[in-house]
Amino acid sequence: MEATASDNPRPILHGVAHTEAFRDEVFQSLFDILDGYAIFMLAPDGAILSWNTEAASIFGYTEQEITGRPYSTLYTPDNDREERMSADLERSLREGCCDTEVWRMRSNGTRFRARVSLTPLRDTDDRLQAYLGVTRDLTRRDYAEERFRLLVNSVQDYAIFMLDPSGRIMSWNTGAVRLKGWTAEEIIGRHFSTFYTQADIDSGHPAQELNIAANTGRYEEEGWRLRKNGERFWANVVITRLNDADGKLIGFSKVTRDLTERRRNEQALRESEERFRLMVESVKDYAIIMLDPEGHIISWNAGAERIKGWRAGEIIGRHFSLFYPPEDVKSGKMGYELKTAEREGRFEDHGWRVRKDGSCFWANVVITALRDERGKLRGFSKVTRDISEQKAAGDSLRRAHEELERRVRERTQLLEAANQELESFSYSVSHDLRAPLRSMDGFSAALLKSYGEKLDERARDYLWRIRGSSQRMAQLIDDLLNLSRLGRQQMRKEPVDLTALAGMVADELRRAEPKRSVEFTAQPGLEGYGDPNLLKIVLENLLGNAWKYTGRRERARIEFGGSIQKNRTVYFVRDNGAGFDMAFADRLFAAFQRLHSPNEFPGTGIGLATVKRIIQRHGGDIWGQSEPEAGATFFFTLDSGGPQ
Amino acid sequence: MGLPTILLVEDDSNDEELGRLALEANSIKCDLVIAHDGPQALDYLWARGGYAMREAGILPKVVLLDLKLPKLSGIEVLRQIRDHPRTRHLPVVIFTSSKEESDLIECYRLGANAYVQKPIDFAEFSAALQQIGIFWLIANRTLSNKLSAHEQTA
Repeated sequence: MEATASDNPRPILHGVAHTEAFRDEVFQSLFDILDGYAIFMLAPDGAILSWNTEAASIFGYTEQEITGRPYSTLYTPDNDREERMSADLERSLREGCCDTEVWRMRSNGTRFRARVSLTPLRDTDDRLQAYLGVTRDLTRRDYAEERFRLLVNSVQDYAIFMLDPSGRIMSWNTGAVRLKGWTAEEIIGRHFSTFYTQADIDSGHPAQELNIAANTGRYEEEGWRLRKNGERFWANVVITRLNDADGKLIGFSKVTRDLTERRRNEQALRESEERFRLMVESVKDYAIIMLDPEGHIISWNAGAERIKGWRAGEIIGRHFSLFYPPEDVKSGKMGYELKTAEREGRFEDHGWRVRKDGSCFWANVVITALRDERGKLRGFSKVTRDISEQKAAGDSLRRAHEELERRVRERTQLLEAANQELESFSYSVSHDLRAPLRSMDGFSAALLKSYGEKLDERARDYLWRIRGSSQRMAQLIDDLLNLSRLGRQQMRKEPVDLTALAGMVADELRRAEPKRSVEFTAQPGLEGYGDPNLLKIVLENLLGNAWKYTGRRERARIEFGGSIQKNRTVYFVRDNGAGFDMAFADRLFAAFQRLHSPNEFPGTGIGLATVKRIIQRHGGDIWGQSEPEAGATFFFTLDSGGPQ
Repeated sequence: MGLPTILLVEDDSNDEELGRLALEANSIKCDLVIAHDGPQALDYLWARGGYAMREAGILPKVVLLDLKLPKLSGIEVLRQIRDHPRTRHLPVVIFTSSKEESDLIECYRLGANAYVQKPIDFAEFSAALQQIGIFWLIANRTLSNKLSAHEQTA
């Protein structure tokens, strides 16, 4: 606390006369000079002592109304305004002066921004006599302009300056310094054409700009300007005519913006768009066109011209329904396509499209909706490919496939018919060819039995021959039927223990001819993959042949074995029997082909043909090796393609 | 009561004669009735048509049925025999040249009692008929007609 306030609780009353004298002396002279300033005196306790006419005009209180009321009356009416006032008074005492920008309130309750200074006044004994208060209304126009000037000065991003009517620079803001490089001192007073290129100056461009602004009130352009260091920049320039209150030209304001960066971006974008446009335009294999939202053609590339036949000049602005066959136009297909693309972003279709010359092609079409940043539909891109050739290729492939299937069906039918025929053939063979044989044999037998005594030896021999022939024929028929059945019957493949199967067949052979002594060996652990019944027939025939053709050997040997050769098992049946001449080896496996006469060795000549048929059906191979009287070996393989 | 009856359904007169010879050769005493086709066989069994005067209640001890027959195939005859209440349990032995598996399967499916392939060798043929005769005429017992009728109503 200031000592004077507490030491002397009522100094004001005491000092009034002196103060009044002081006031008369100092202030009367100030009144006229300081127009626009509210000037007042406060007692040390803050009570208003005096009030000039400007104060009355600014605050709205007359001197009578305000004198004696506390200084805080002028504060905004917050609860703490008494304390704020005390604080302000103390601060001015402490610092000698208190100069602040604050809010004040007029008598009518309106507020205004004010510059306030408060100065303590002391007498010669350094005693506080009063405070001198000065307040300026910052919202009044002249001050406002000053503040606006400050504002303009501080703007950094725009060069804002004033020109006199002839174009000489009158003011210069921070932005102008930054943008153009000159300081205010360097540039004020110089002509604004300093900022223009020599070419512009030569063509009188700066003067034209001023003319236009003077005549129309405003001139705007974008163009090249120079910085102090000679560097060019792309500028947006606005020149505005300035008038005084009477409408007389007093100069121009000039606002310049540096657009170099923006221009660079725009240029880059334009170039990229240009490249893209050139690329699209030069694409030949795709028709790439743009449609407006209603479907009118906006752009047309080389591919479109190639595929559809129209030139850009003929087609731009027309509706894309031109590309559709009449039935599509009638059904409104185009509208549906655009709607779908708009709704789903994309529409793809395959279909017939029409060229300029009326010919049709099979097209793949993709329509894509084009939207701007805000999602508004701007149009569509439409990419069309002529895939007639692919379609033709696909169609002919399909036709070929169908033809093939048809032929397979036909063949299958033929085959089935042939099978059917064979079936009924063998059925009738099995029924009808046997009956006569049975009669021949049966009646010959009856003759021999009932009339044998009446016949001579020769006649009986003939009857026996008839019986032998019919039985042999019956055997042939049976073998043939078996052979034909082999080709038709279903196979059921499974792993088969061939060693065991061979043993079984050998046992059967021994039982049929128990008197013969044959040394039979089978290699253990031989396995095959195939139909067990059919493989049994194979072994029956091969071992049966070996058995038969070793009939004249005293020490007959039959061997069944196998070995791995080239990743497959080669099985063999070997005997030490009669053998055969390799010259006839290729006839071994043909039906009814025999290398021995029935008198030498009985047989129908069907056995090996049957074996070969079975081996073939198993995807295997069979071959024989022999020399006359040196025994024979038959090798065979089976398809190894069973389940592993 | 006379000799037991065998119905031989056979269109081939040679086979018919051979059958007769075989039965004689084996001294099988029976009354051999021959039907030359399917309808005739059914007429006999059901005592109708040319056999209308026959006593319907008397059935053969066994039917020897060839498969390849004119008019009605042996298979069809078998089906009708089995479909008819009176002959449902009548022993039927298929006696045929065929050894087609499909025939075998079909005959057993339709309820044939046996299937014998006619051998071509007369000795074997004769032996086959001998065994058939011994089995079906002597060893086998058939349902009496009464029982058969009783079974029908059950």
